[in-house]
Amino acid sequence: MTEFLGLGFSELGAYGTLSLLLALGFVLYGLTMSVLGGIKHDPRFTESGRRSAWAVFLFVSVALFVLEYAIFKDDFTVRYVYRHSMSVSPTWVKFVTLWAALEGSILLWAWVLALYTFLVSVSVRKDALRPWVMASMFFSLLFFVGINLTVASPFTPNVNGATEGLGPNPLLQNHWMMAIHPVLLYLGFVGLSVPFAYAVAALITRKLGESWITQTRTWLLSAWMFLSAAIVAGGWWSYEILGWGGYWAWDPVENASFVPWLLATAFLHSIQIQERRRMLKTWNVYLIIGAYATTVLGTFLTRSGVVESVHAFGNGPIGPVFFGFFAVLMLIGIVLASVRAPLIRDDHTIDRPISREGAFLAGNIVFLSFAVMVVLGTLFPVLMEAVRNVRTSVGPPFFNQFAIPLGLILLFLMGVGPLLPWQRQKNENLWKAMQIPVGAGVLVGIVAFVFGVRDLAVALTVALCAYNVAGLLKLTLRAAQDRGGPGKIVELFRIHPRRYGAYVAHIGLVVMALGIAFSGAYKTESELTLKANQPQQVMGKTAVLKDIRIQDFPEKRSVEAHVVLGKEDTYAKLNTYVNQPQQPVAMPFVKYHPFSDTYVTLLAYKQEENWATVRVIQTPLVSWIWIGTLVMVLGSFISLQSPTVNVQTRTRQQEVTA
Amino acid sequence: MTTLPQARKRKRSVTGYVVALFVILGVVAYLVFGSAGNSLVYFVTPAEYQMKASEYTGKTLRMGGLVVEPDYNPDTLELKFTMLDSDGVTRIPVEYRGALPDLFKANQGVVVEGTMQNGTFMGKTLLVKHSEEYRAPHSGDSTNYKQLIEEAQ
Repeated sequence: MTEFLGLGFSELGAYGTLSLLLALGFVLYGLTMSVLGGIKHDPRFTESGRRSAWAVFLFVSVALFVLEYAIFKDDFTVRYVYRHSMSVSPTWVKFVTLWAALEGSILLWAWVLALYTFLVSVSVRKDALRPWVMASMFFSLLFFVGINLTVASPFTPNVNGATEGLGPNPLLQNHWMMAIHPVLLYLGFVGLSVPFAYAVAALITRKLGESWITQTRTWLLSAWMFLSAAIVAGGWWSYEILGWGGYWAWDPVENASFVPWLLATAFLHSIQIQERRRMLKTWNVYLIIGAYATTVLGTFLTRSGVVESVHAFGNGPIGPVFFGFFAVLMLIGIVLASVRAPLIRDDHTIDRPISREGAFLAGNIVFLSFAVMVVLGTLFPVLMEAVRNVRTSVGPPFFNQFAIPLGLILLFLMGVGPLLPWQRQKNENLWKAMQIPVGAGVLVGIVAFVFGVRDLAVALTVALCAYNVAGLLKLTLRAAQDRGGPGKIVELFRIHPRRYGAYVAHIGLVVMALGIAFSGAYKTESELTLKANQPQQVMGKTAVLKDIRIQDFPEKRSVEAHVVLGKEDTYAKLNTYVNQPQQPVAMPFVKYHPFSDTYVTLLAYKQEENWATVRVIQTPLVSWIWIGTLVMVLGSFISLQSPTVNVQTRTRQQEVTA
Repeated sequence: MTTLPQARKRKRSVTGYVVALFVILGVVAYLVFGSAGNSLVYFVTPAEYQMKASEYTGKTLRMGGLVVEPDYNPDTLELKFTMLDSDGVTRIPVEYRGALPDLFKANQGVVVEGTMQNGTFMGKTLLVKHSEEYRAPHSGDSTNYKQLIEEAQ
């Protein structure tokens, strides 16, 4: 047994493998018990299955802890530690090394999934869905714990007796964002497994009413919140690190996180139609299955080497395995949904396209088209090679062709939705509702044009943003007025946290849209070589190189160019890590301003000759993307609060005393 | 009695949206993929370019080969060199403006992205694959430039 576990080679590796094996055992047990509980309708089985989730969480946590411990102890008998860590790294880098490469990140994925399964097990209602929800969660766990024991084992022993590791990827030891972005991403990705589990349970038990949707709302919204924050955090990392002054390049790995986001956003809106109007039951099931499956598909695409990506962790058996799991998920979903489809009857229909449900559904269609196009675009080079045998790649211009118009349509629909009532809507009412927002949009669009915005997409974005804000303001103020004045807005938030949280999230998206439009259209950059203390003009500013400083750290050599740009001091760095001396990593200097960021990257230097080549980039409104995201997350957070009924009880009490 | 017309009604309203979905997808896909040729980047070696030069007119190319006789002015950031195919015969003049990566030297492999203009390849980006697997290629060597071109980021 110890031989098999590799105890002779690596003690920690053996403990890790052993705890994963125990976790796998409990996963299998939990899966069997949950399915039995579901089939036999015997709560004893269900209970037993539910409780084994606690053991699974415990043992996966132990495995995670063991790997982290091995990294901190520099135990290079564990292959993962040998390949991706080194003893001289600072503490925070060692901490994030856990998820800085393939096997560790899959272990983190499994751990987050075990955590969610544990949380589901303590919160799931005692209804018919329960055993099947747990069974679906165990099914996902089976895959992730399973691959962690086989093709992506972080605990494989390393037998070469090395005393120093190869160290982490230089790009990943450069910024604290590495500690945030992957964790948020997994919280988002894996969070989608819970609504998926409920959807599967609803299909199996034929209880496709509103129950499964209301039960998963909190899960879905939290997952969506994490996923949104994670995608932007990834963009921010890219902005702070990669030195090209951008944050989104339509790289396959970015697309891999964006597609599930699009589908989850569509789902977030269409379930409201089901809650309100009891329609689109099948549609919703397909959407959530698609959203969850695309998180797996994205991982397959970026980890398998099928498409080129900055995140390609190298080839291996992991790709086909993920593709297999993706296929299984889709198959389960499609087979279940089509078997159950004849049983599903929507209670209502869309009477008029011009109604809130009509707008939501139209938005859904745009979201879905967007997702399909992003997937096709990501796979396009593969298709081109198969059909025409030429190797190609697609870049941002390709994606922008459809992303910009579809984004604008979404901005438009985002403004229409809240203004329209559910169900029927007469045309004259629509026009009445739209007067102020459309007026505001046109006015602001014209103002933007007068002030020199000549880019059509940007002008349209500005107009649509104004129209969105005006619409939401109008709705909020009118509602406050009905309650007795604009001072009642706080009260509105308390009574209807869902609605006003959504408004706040929409405002966040508006802020973000402005940031994306302006930074995309009005970025200027220039490269120049500066000699020490010889001023040069760049983009209307004077640039002076003050000095070049070289600092040595145990893990890196850091070169810092002090350039004064206008009145600002900038310190762009070039870091060379000891584990990859041939790959210097630029650490751009970013000075955030509300209206235009200053961004300096050190490209080349010679200290003895006192010159440095820098790239200077000015990008307007980039900060708005980060601020908008914070507002959006805040909005989702407000939406998650349960409404207070205090206000009503208080008035009632007053009535009594009066 | 009432279920039948209702069912028919539901079918109609849902079909409408499904049709809309496919129409939108069709139009968008047609527009995007129809003009895809303009926004694609083609991966070629100098020899491959020479073979089908007319096909690549005006297209963005990513070309990989060996650096021969580089001439760089660090003040104006102007670089000129000749790119030699791994066949050891085909040569293409390249011009580029910008800072040079550390690895850039004569007799090194390099990947350039840009367009062909009047027989000169005008580079917009210089890409060099830096990694532990990367080995500097030599004249007439067996470096897999195809792979290098694809992997350069």
